[in-house]
Order: sequence, then C-alpha cells, then structure tokens
Amino acid sequence: MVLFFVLFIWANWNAPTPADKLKPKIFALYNLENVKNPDAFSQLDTRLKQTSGILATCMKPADKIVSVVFYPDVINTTDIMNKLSQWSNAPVSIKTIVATGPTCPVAGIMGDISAIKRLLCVRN
Amino acid sequence: MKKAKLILIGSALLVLPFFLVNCTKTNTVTEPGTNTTTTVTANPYAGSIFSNEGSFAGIDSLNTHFVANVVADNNINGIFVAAFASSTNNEYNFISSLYNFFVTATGGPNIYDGPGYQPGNSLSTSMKTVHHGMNITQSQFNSLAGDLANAIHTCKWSKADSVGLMGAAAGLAPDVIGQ
Repeated sequence: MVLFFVLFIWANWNAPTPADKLKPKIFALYNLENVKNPDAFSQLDTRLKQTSGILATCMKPADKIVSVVFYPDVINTTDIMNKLSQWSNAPVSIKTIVATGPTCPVAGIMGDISAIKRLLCVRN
Repeated sequence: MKKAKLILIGSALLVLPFFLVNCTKTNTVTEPGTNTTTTVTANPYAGSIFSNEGSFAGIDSLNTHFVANVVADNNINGIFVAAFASSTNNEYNFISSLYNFFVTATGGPNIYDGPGYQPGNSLSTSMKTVHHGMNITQSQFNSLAGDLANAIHTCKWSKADSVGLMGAAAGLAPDVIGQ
C-alpha cells in the first residue's frame, strides 16, 4: 500500500512531458529476401503507406528489407507481415537485428521504468 | 472492498493538487483606445526551427520518419539493438527519447532527459556522456546524418530549417565520434 502511494506520487510529481503525451508508436523490420520481382518493392511501399495505422516506412530494395513505424493499437506486427506476404506472393519474416558492438543505452531498464510511470500518471 | 475504496479516495486526494497547478504563461494585454482586455499566450520559441516546422506535431512527424530510416539502416541499426524488438516499452522509450532530443535541438523547450542527461547539462554534454565508450566512427555518424537528411526531405522542411538542423547535428559530431 505504502509502496503504491510512493510510486503514485513519483509518477505524478512532474507534469507529463510532450513525449509522454504522444500516442504510443512502435516499429518493426521485415525481411523481403523472397521477393524476387524488383518492381514489387515500390508497390509494396506504396501499399504500406496507404494502410491505416502505418505512419512511416523505409524501403531498402538493395538490402531487401523494409522498416515500418506504426500505431500498435491500430495494426500489429503480424498483420503487417501477413499483408506484405499477401501483396508480394512471397513469404516475409521479421528481421532480427544483431548488435555489432557497444549499443545505445536507451531502452533496457529505462523502458520498463517509463512504462510504470505512464501507467500510474493521471496528469494528462 | 473497503481497502479498494480507501485506495481510490487516497488516490483522488493525492491527484487533486496536481490538477490545480496551471503552468501556462499568459500575458494580459489591453488594446489601445479601448477597454477590451485580451489574454495572449506568449510563444517563447517564435522564430526557432521548432516553431517554424510545426512545433510538437512537426517534430513528431520528423522523428517518426527518422526512426523508420534508422531501423532500416544496416550501417547503424546494430547500435540500437537494445531498443529493437525486445519489448514495446523499449521501443516507446527509444522513440520518446529521440523526440525529446529533436524538440530540444530545434530550439523548442529543453526537455531532453534521455541517457546522459544530468540537470543543467547542455545537449552537447549529454551527448558526450552517453556516447562514452561506444567508439562511434565518422562513417556511422555520417549514416545517421544521412537518415536525418532523408527524414527532413520527406517532411518537406524549408531549406533554411534543414540547414539549421543539419548544422546543429554536425555541431554535435565531436561529442559523439570517437568517444
């Protein structure tokens, strides 16, 4: 009980930042290795951009990947993957990124702390 | 049940003071020759890139396109692997930190509080602190700058503001490269 009150006061002590007021958005990276037709990439990009909930895309035909930033409450990672597969008539998968050295310290534990704060903050 | 009610009432009492605080700065102006008084909200960011390019909404759009470009950039996306795919909380946090960074870097409110931040720090000091030990190369920095330039192009910013933000980013290069 005491812990709850302490967390509650902490979460509401400062007014939410402009970033806290943003509608949450996330991103995903897709592997388009099985898409053989070079013309298909621009068509896929156009169709993605017209899809509800998708905010930005970055198509890289040379690397055969596409990144998508989207609202998770409108569309999810699997739906986008299925749409890409359907439109390209080829299997599409989520691409995992591998660390190449020291990584940016943003996220990790900070992401979880921010999530607790967002949940308990009522000052929006 | 009683406990739940107590928590609810306690919470309501705790929250009340937060709602009573009004942080908006306003000026009262009386129009010359009349008795009409109007309240004007001052814009302390007028003339900044932040203000010219649509304030918070404009920066949000730039940031969204920038994130898409960085995620698809094989030269640098490995650096941000902690934010990728492991948890949506991490992804929110990654996007929010970049957003706060751009708001501050474009002359908007100084709200960057991401990694490397200490109260009273400049953005330059924060960048130096956060990139310590990462050995970022010139090539990696150039890739990031390219992703930013493409995002600016997508958002159709004016030439002056594009040059302004790219210049501000270039100014941070010594704080990021080779730390």
